[in-house]
Amino acid sequence: MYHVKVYDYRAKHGKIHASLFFWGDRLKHYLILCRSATSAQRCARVLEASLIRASVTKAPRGLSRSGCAYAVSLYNKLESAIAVLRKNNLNFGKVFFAGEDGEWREVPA
Amino acid sequence: MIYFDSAATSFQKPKQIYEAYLQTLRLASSPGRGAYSPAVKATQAMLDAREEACSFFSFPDPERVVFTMNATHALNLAIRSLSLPGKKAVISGFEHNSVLRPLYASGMNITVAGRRLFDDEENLKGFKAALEGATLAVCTHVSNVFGYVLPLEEIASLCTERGVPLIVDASQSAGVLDLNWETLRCAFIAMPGHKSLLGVPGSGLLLCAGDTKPLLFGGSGADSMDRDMPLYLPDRLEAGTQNAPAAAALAAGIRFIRSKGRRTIETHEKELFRHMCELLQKRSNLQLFRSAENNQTGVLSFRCADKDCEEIASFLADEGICVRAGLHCSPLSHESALTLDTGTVRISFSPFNTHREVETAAAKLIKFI
Repeated sequence: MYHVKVYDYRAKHGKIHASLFFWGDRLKHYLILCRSATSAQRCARVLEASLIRASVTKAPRGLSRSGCAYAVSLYNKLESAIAVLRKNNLNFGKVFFAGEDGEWREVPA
Repeated sequence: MIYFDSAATSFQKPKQIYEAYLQTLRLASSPGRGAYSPAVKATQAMLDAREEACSFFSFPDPERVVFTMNATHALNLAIRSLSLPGKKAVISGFEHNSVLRPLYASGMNITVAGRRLFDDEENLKGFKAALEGATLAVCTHVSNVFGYVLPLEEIASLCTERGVPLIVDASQSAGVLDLNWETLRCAFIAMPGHKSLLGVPGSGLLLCAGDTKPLLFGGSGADSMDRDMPLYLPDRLEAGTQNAPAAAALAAGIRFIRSKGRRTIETHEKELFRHMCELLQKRSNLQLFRSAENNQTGVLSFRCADKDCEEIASFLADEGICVRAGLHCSPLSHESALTLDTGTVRISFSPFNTHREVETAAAKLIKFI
């Protein structure tokens, strides 16, 4: 597993995404990187149509080496989401998971 | 006022266009420039329009639908992407200056194939012969001067057989004729958003199946560290802030055409055309450019033996009737139809014109000539 220290969310915002809970379980927050805002929007739209809550977000600075990048943000349901994107032939990049320590870790998709 | 210049731009628009434009102007900011609500709304508006276009033109990938300022911009992008200086480009004899000028600027050797007005067979023969050794073909779907519908499917087939990439100029057909990328399988289709698609001026589309080269360089909202434009579409060809309200209007235009029925619109415009021809054909001093075959849209060009075209258009303008006279930015078409010395007066219809308007305009015109 690839660790990237990208952004100190706790220092900046206190408890945020990584600390969301649902019925006592911590929600797993994922970011699926996309090559463009259009691509991210398409992915989010297809996921929403498949009843997977997803939204477009700017990727944190350290996740992309080429400057500004867009991502699809979702909680849990990563496997289903990846399956839906593949089924619809949608391009996406690396996938990251928000650890409890506020760091993003790449997860194999 | 009677507006008969829809081949230049659509003037009367359904209220949905204004609503979509204004709503996006109010709620959306810059597409692809952030993840806050107005920026996302702008990206969504653009994506809506891309998806509408894909569905309407049977094009497979919304990310390869590029927004442009107009059809001229789209054609410039397509020609820049495929042109090879010194190599042979084949065009029809009915191309607009938006094809001719960028091709000249590209340094390609231009061969004009098919110059017979309304004669599909001859024009196909011309293309067949001219495609030998060509590296690019550009063909308009419909002549903007004469409404002549070129045999595009056959020309596209010839190009595919010979491995020559084809750029289609759909300026006069998108929104009114059946235009299907799946059938044509061409490299690019360029079209305006503001003509028969009923969008606002300053909008156009380029459907890109072929490899692309940017024309404008600048911010794309992503991959900012790269010195080059991104390799992926649509960002590669969409430098700078895009016109999200225009995209929303274009999407609304496509939805309107769908709801009304494209074929219904096509039939309505052809009926108006036939009606106008019936009223004008008895005048012996008028020459109507009308096809005997079923290969003409609702665009009627004519000229008068005793009156200058501009004089006729000017008289009609004074009477509140808007038509276009002259060479219509297409000297090549006039050269092909042997009307270069006089030009023509062009009447072009929209879904909103009526038979009563046709009768009023015809009566005034007959009185004048």
